Amino acid sequence: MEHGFLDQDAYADSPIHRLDARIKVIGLLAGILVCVGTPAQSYFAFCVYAFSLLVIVALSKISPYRIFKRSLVVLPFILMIAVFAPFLKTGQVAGGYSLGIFRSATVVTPALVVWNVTAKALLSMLMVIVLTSTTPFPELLQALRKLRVPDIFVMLLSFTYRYLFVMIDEFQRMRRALASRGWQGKWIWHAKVIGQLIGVMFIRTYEKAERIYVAMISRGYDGQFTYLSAKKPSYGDAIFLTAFLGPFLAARIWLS
Amino acid sequence: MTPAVSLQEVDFNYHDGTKALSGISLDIAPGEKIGIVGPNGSGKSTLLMLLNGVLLPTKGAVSIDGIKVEKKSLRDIRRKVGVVFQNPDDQLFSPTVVEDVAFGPRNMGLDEQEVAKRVDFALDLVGMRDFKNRSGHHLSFGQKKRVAVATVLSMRPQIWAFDEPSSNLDPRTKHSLEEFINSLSDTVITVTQDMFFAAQTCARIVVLYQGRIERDGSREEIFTDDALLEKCNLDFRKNFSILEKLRGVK
Repeated sequence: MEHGFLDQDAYADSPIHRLDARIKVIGLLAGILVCVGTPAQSYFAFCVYAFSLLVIVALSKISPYRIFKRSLVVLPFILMIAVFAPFLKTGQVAGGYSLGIFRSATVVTPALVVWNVTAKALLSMLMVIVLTSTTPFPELLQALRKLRVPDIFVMLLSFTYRYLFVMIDEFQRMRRALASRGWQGKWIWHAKVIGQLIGVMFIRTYEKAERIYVAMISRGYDGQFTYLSAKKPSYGDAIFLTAFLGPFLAARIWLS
Repeated sequence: MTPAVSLQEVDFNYHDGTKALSGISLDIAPGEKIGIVGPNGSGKSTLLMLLNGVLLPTKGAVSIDGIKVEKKSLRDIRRKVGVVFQNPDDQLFSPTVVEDVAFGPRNMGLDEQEVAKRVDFALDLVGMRDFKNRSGHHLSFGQKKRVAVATVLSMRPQIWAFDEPSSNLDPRTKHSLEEFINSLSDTVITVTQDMFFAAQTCARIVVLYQGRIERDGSREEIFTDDALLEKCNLDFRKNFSILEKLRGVK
């Protein structure tokens, strides 16, 4: 069935794809932190961030249109903020922090709030998309493990990734079965069926989890996971990290 | 000689009080290929789960290679008994095929070199070596089934237990699974409703009916007893008589 939205571009080949996954995780997470911590008025800094990201997207050879389309998931959140922004009192401090030279305080004007959220959400989302669409998920998990993310989280992510597709398939099969019996799911009174669908999905998921666990203990699982070892970061990875984070930090320090 | 599998007067009741199995006594010799057949709800799958201690008997005892199946022996039991589950999606949970095939051997505490050797061996044997680094959900059902077999193969079990191995497989894949089972020199226990598959792979057949052993005999004996097959909902003659008719066989 049709899916593969999560890492469909991740198995392509480009300089960005070939980088060590750990470096990408560190680089892009740091990028997000720097971006989120930039004062809203530093318009030029945001331009630098956007430009660095565009360079990476270009290097990664992924269709910019697809990346743009995926980044639209943040729109509803931005819209929510935009709806409430006019009701904020002008001049009020909405939030701030101070970490040595990095400090920021957002003074509210409705336009600035909307700009702040839009720019930061879009840029952060872009960074996450670049990460997930240039790194196959198994490598990403490996990287998180190497970066000492607790095993239980990595395991949860790994199971989510593996069974998400099974669940989507199952849901699609049920929808098709409903549709082939003339169900459309358009109107509010169809909510009951959707409720039942969710209920059934819940029970099936639960039972599936039991069966998976049984299959695991049948192969001697006792709560401990062991993994294959990964490759080491290279000079190329270090160059990427400097080339990517350098402009970010420079823009954050001197342009804001 | 110690039987590979031995059940003595085994009862099993589920928590809700459902009696799944009662008074099951069965000895399986090393190297024997045995089929457990029976209608839906006859207790076949329950019996399978008793073999590696996923379920423990309510009454009676199960032993594998002379070792009693109980809490403290589970580690050894699961090394000896390899279970291939019906739905490969339940068995394959790792992000990549390699990791899944390596899962069992690693749990056995083998070193990485040996693990890698076994993974290659298992994937070669089921013809899935080229799919090593693919993720499970990108495979077809037949391919998933092969990998599921490899995940057990890499543990080198003495006793294989297959739960409905032929379900959802196309005739050719089914046939290659039959050939695989026939090529094994280990003990193989196959739980199935597929009489054709059982006839191909199992010299000895045990018929379960309503939680009891209805009959235990050679495949020649079982598959010629029409009254028995009829009684236990296992009459398969209609299923192939149509094909014979179409092909003009008398």
